[in-house]
Amino acid sequence: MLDKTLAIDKVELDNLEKTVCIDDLLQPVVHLRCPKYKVSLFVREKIHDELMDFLGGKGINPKFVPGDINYRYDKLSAIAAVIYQNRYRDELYRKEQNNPVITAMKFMDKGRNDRIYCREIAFEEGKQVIICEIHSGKKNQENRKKEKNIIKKVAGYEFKIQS
Amino acid sequence: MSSKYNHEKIKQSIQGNLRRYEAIALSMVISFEIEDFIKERGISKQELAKAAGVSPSYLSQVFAGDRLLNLTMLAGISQKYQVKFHCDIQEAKVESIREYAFESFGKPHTKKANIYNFEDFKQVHNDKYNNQNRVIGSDCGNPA
Repeated sequence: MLDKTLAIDKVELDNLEKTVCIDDLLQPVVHLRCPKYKVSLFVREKIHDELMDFLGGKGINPKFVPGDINYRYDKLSAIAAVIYQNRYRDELYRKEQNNPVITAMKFMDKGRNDRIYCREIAFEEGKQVIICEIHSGKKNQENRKKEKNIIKKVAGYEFKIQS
Repeated sequence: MSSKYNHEKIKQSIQGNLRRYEAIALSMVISFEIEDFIKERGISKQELAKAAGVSPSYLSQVFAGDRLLNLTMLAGISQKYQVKFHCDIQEAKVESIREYAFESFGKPHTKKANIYNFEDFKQVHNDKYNNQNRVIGSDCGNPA
């Protein structure tokens, strides 16, 4: 009986989403965080490569110079500044109305409207912001079915938390 | 499908342009202070733009991190609302001093701290957190 319980526990643990810390990618901004309330940025391991491609400029307009990460990294720097300071700002990083633990990073420039949906996991001494889904080319101002589905999906993830 | 960019490659690319990203970070920090200030005073972003001598859309771009704040804007805000912006320079390797600062200020989210000058911290700390002067620096945010 005990073995069976352990086996179930193991399966459940295996189903937990693993995360990768990306604070090292935000060296120019990470010093903005408060040591007393540490905020860290993570990405779901399964979409880590997708995020790297996104930062590398994937999907951006044809004027984009391959290898120039400034287009998206500039924006990420501004968003990360908001996150590390434990703030929210509608233009950059905000809580989703229907689910306050789900947040969205807004990459609205160069004629694009991309979103990165995140989960916030708060602890007493800080919080982890986990990048969960990248949604390129949001078409509407309001959340339509597609966005709602993504938000639902993000809300359902369970994470293996690392310190 | 293998990724064209990986963690290390992105990290290396950033190294070549640190100055640009540091500037964005600095501009954002100042904008946080201004944001708190206008909220406290009930000033609209349109009024702020006028004081700063820029159009509302330019100001929006600054708040969205697409443009950097400039000193002329700060001067306009300073003049209009009779506030002072302070800036102190200190060695960048100050993690321990920062920690001291935050310890001094105790509770996160409430007190303003100037991260750039250790002496200021001591002074402000000794004055029992007298925050009469608006300082550009880092607090621990303002969870909405």
